Amino acid sequence: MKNNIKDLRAKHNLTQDELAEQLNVSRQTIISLEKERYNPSIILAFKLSRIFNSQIEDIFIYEEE
Amino acid sequence: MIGTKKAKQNQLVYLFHGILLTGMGIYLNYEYIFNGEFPDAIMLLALGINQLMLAYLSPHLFPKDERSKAIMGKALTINYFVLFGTIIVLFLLTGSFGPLILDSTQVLQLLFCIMALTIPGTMVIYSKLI
Repeated sequence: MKNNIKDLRAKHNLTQDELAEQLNVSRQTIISLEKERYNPSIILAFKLSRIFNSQIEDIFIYEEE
Repeated sequence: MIGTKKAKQNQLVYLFHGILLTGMGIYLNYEYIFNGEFPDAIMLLALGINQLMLAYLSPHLFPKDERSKAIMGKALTINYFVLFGTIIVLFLLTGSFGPLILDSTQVLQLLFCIMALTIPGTMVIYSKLI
């Protein structure tokens, strides 16, 4: 699944460390999310949407395989 | 962010133990291996390699991190099948027509080594993939 986490993080002037701290996950998880290697749980997706003040659909782009 | 400082401390401890145990394991086992005998201190070598892999995994695995849980879950599933495979291979190798003669302690040592290597081994692979 594609996502805009890297762009949104830059827009909100957050480092990977800061975002990881706010989400209570490791920095490696943020790296994996940004590289689109890992799809987050629905809870993490909601947390991201709150931090970025966006809808989940604006952060994650679902493409049917 | 979940304990990065602690992860770095743990990494150093794992690395120290890994180098020490691997060195000791090689030193104690190489003579047996070259003579074609069962190396009695094989668990030491397996533990050393296990510690080195844990040193690599230290910044990837945290108790409450969901990616860590995914890595651990997948690694344990793979380990379940590897363990079954190992038991089948050991049955074939040590059965009546098999070429190996191992006592029960040696079989347990081998199973321990396989588990000590496959669990962190698959975690290393999944930490690269996920």
